[in-house]
Amino acid sequence: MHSRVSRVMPLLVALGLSATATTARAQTWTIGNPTTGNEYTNTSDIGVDGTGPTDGGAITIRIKNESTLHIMQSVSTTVDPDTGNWLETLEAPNDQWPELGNAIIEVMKSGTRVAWVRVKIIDPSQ
Amino acid sequence: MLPSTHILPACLILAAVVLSGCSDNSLYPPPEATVEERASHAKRMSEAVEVLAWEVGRGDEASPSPLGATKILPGEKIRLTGRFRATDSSLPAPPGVIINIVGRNKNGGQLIFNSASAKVTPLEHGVYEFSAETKAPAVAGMYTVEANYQGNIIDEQTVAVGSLRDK
Repeated sequence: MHSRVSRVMPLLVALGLSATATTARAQTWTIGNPTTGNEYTNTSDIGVDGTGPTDGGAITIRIKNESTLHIMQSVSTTVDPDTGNWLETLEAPNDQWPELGNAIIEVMKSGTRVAWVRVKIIDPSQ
Repeated sequence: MLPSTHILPACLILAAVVLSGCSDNSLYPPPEATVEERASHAKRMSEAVEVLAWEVGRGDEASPSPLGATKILPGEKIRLTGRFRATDSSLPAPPGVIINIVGRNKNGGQLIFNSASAKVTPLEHGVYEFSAETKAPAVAGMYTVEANYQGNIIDEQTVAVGSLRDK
């Protein structure tokens, strides 16, 4: 009996370590669209997609003015637990972004920023 | 009975479970995939898409028209729809795409006039569809409508946005 336990334990320990390592490496987040450097008009909605860990759960996508840190728009969505993909649209509030210039689109998970890109919001008539 | 005879079947079952899991996960970036591996996978998926048709529904029109042959009015509500099939059966269709309406800024650079997310839904015979409601640019001119999967353009179409006098 003792010898059986002694043979099984290393296997279980190895599996446990493997699972831990997988969980630790899974914390990768990407934003596919938009990409840094994209320019949007001040009346544009912005479609955003990307990938995250496959543990699912809620995330918040938000856009904020880079200079003032004013949050222009914030939406919540969920990560697909099977694929890790997420997809959402940031809507231009009242058809007019309150502030123009450089903006940051960021993905927040449990209060922590896990991915971000820098875009520019411009008024094409000026 | 020797302990190894108990462990062997367990190992075989374990191996089967692991291999089965690998088979399913091979369709998607596995949880441990790096950012580079995910980007590479998204690129492969986007290249395995053949867009068959684009349509546009203007305002509250019930029947959409082929995109490219339809004049769209500035600022009007439109529904853009695309249908495609996956050319590589070992890869799944993208779960969603972003539809961008792209024009030019004063310096000739790319300027995105509107952008919307569209979930992909399966139709029949391996054909999939994505559709999103958005708004046409407020200024008349030529624009590009592109379907984009995680930063990879899978297809693009040129569209004309006419002046209100064309109504």
